[in-house]
Amino acid sequence: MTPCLQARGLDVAVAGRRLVTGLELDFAPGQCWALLGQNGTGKTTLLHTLAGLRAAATGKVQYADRPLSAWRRRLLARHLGLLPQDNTDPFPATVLETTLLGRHPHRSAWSPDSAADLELARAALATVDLAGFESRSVAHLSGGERRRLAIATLLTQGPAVLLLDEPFNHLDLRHTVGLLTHLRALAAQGRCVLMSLHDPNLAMRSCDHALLLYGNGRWAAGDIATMLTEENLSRLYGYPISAVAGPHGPVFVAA
Amino acid sequence: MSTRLPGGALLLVLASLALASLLAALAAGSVSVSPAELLAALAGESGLGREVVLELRLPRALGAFAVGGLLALSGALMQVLLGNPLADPYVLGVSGGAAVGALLALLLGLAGLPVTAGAFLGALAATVLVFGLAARGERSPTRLLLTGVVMAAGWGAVINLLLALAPDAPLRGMLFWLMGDLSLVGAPGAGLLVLGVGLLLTLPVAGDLNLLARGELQAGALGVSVNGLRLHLYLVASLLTAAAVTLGGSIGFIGLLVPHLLRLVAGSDHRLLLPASVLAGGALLTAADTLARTALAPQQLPVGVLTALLGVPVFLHLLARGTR
Repeated sequence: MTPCLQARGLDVAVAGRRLVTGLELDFAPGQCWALLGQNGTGKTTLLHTLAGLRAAATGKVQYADRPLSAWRRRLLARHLGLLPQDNTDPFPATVLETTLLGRHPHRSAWSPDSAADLELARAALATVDLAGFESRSVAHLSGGERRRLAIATLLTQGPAVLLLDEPFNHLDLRHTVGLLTHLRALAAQGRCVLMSLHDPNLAMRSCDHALLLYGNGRWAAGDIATMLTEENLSRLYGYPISAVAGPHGPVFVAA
Repeated sequence: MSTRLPGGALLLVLASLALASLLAALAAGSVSVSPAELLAALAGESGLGREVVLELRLPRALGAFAVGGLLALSGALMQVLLGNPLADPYVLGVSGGAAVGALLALLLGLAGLPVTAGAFLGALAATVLVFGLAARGERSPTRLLLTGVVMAAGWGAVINLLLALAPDAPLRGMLFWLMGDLSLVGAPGAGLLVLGVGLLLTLPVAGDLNLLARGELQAGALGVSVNGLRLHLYLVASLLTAAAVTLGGSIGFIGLLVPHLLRLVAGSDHRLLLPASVLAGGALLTAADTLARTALAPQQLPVGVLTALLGVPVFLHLLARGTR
């Protein structure tokens, strides 16, 4: 299997503090990774670094065996996508326009939206349950609807590697589970998904690998079942966590 | 739901308005020129009408159009650069620098070309200073905005100092320059040239602007080289503002209001918004200048006062409507 995204000796630092040191990891097609850690342990910064939007303190990130810095930004955006933690929309725009932004790396600046682009955008909106919202103004959406719109833009972009920063913020239970299922299906089709999450149960339910960040430079990565244990999670969150039997396997609860 | 005009129709409407404003500017004034005389003059027949129209009114009308277009285009770019729909061409202090340059020239008793040169050099100095200061340390739109706003306040203080120290003789000219005045536009060709160059430099990146308007992170993730684009925008917008201020002094509200209005009518696709801003800004300032010349004739009003008087209520209305 060819690794799609690789971290090599990667250090992530914020304002001189090393949050992650010496990260050596391959994110392969077909894998779905959960990124877990307390607030401020570098999850977002790591995602930005893996997306090539922030320089690594040391080490490098490679996609298809080429360092991200050697890629043309526009070309890379066809393969590598990021869902930012927050979205800003200071200017008026419609839902469909916002979704279509995802096609930007795939076409020249002046070509009009093709029928295929529109089809992709509408399909993505249907996936996030925003069908029928096309001509609505973004300013009139709720927080959860905006979040789903941002996910639709990423789906319209259609990258091979999807980096998602707390994708289910503001989402209700039904939409969370629906989108998790969709992301998992994308991984099963050969995409690579890496998402930061705050709920180990969602991670357990949807991901096959986990990367734990301790915030002091240390990290641990591996198969989800071996990573998400009472002992590891209690240490990760600095709070006692116990596993109880649930319908799909263990459920973690704060003691 | 938002109702929008199709792009082609909007540009056609704005182009017609621009043409109408130019024709009105040629026809209106102390010597009234009938449509027939106007056509004859434009067709090259000689007569009194021809002199008035071609030698007095045409340069001024074209100058007003150029300045209006420059300000509106610059405003649209600044709003994206700073991620703020309330940004205008003067927000980073370019006009303040230009004013200090021009007032210094006027204070020295100079007139004409040296004043223009002073304004342009002042605008360039302000541009370099703000960018140099904002580029040190972390680069962000907020940092650039704060640096610019503080520098603008500083220029404002220097302007007041110059006015306080000025003897009576140049004072009236200095005040008139500050209020924004198009009566001294000698050669509109330079302004139109800068306007054309500005459009040529920004239309190729208009698609990227749509992404930058959603924030640097989102733009970067969708394939925009954000740092290069921001530098490009900063330099072009500053050049446009410098040219506008040099030609017409600081004329408020065009750069803020025109892109803002067009976004409400036509959405935020900058491939359409940039040329539409040029046409609408040009038409609006040409019409305002014609009104400024003729409303209290023979007294000429500074056009900057007029645009502000028109702009304030329109803007407040928009603001109230926007917070439904």
